[in-house]
Amino acid sequence: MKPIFKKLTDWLKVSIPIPGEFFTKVTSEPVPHHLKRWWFALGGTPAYLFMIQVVTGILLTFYYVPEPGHAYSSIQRITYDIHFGWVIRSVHKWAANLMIIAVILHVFRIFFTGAYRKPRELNWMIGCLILGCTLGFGFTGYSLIYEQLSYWGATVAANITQNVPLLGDFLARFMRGGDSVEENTLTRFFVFHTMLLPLGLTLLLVVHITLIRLLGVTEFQFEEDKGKPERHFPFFPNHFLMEVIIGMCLTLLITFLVVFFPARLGPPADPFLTPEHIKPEWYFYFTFRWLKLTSLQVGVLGTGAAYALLIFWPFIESGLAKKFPNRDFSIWLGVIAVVTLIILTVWEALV
Amino acid sequence: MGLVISPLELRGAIFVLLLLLPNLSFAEEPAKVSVCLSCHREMGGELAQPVSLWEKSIHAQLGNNCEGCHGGDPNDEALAMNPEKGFVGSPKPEEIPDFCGKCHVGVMENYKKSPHYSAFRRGIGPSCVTCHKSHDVERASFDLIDETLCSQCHSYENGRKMKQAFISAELELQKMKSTFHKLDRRGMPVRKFEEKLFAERNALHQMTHTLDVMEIEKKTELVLTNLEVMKQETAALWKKVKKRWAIGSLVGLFLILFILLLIKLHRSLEEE
Repeated sequence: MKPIFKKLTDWLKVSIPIPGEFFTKVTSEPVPHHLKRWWFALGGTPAYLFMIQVVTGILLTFYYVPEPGHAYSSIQRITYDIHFGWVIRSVHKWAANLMIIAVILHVFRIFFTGAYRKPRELNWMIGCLILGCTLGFGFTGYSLIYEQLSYWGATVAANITQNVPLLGDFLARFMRGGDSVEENTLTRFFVFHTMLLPLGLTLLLVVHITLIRLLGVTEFQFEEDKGKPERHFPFFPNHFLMEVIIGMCLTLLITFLVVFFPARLGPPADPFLTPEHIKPEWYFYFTFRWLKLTSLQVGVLGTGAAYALLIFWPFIESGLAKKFPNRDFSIWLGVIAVVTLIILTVWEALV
Repeated sequence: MGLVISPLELRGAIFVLLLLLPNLSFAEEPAKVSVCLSCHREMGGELAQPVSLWEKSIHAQLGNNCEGCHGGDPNDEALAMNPEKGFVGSPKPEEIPDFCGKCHVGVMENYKKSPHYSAFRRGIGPSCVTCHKSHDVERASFDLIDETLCSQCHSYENGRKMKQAFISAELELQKMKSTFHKLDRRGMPVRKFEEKLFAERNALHQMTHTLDVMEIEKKTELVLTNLEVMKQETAALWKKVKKRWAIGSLVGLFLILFILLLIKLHRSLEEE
């Protein structure tokens, strides 16, 4: 066996003329000691879940038909007729939910540890865009099912978009591809969900990870480390193995969810029958409740302003720090944001 | 760094709140008030009674307002009782079955085949409102087949037989419905079964107004037989669910062992 293996590696070395030291350098870069804490090693989780989404998404696309007359029945076929279709669809559904949770938790972790500060402002902004893309995936993906609730969810979202100042009508028409949610809408959502958003997210992830490598991971020192010199450990195999273990734990969780709580299918979309209760997916509960509490324009402006505040917070904070040097506004903002998110989400879930 | 708000920050926060306050409102528009309800309420006495009775009814719960039965335009006082807007007023006693039958078509057809209707035509039998009441219409239920009510006109013997037959079938229908709900939660295709069940239930409920004891007993037998067939078909789905659980548990077990192995490997790396 050995000569064959050697022949193969020699052939690879000739075919891919990159020196082996390069790979060693890339994979064994030292990472800060605080990453040995599991909570800090969760940054790779969204990337792992995204890979699951890509694989299961491609498999679902083999059978999904993005056309109003067939979309629902093609999902019905995937769920009930095709071998392991229910597994693929359920994995896709649960990994999507977990990915949203993972990205939100990662954003909070970065925010509360102040890891977005100079020189990492740009990477923070890219992270916020990744959060936006992930929510975009959730929204477009849910609408593709074309069941009654997802259809009306898309209709309500388009009507809400209409209230964006100046651009509202254009955005709503662009989203729907017409005056109402119909054939063009489904095609657009499909293109966004399977082409534009994956492409955008992949590019953002590449830039995000490249910037992490170029700027290095933020170094944290905990109470017990104070006074000790900075410690590091190799990315491969130590940290890589930690990421694999986290990935396997997620796989175990997804397996449990898929087997015991598989993806269901509600009644098909009926444009002539408005359901009694229209609710978006849980990750939009906070926006939905906020929109119910205010007039639509204030609701839309408020949501947009909150997202802009999140994106530009590193710059806003440094501006505030110049005026009020002894205040840490980020803790205030973070606590208010978390409490508001939880209250609005739970409130909407309970009604 | 303490969480202290300076007077300047406080003034700023109050200013922003004051700016937002005029815009804060509940997004849902208030429901339009029907002129039928408001006028009749104001009239008081006998003319106001239908309003308070209707408010307690199944019609009110389901959103069937005055105009649903009586016609007219509930949004315009001038047109509220205009025949051109479909206003028909109150039916005469002999018109009641057709009045209710505008919506409850199947029920009316069965009622017209029943001995109740024959008696009604002779001026001694019950109409819809005798059992279901007029404005405080109750949800159709087997509880309406009641000894006190039935024995006002005749013996309760047949009523008891019918009620027993209906309730035995209804209990089985409900059990089956809950089974389908459980299977749906476990990802099984139950829509076709649910449609079948709905049809069975509907057919059974339509029988209530025929008052033909023999026919009703025959029908309930048939429903119970059909339910038995459905039960056997759902058993195959349960088998599939259990198979999924078993395979899923095995995969989970394998993953747990693999994770434990990886943790051991990670620890050995740490110790090196």
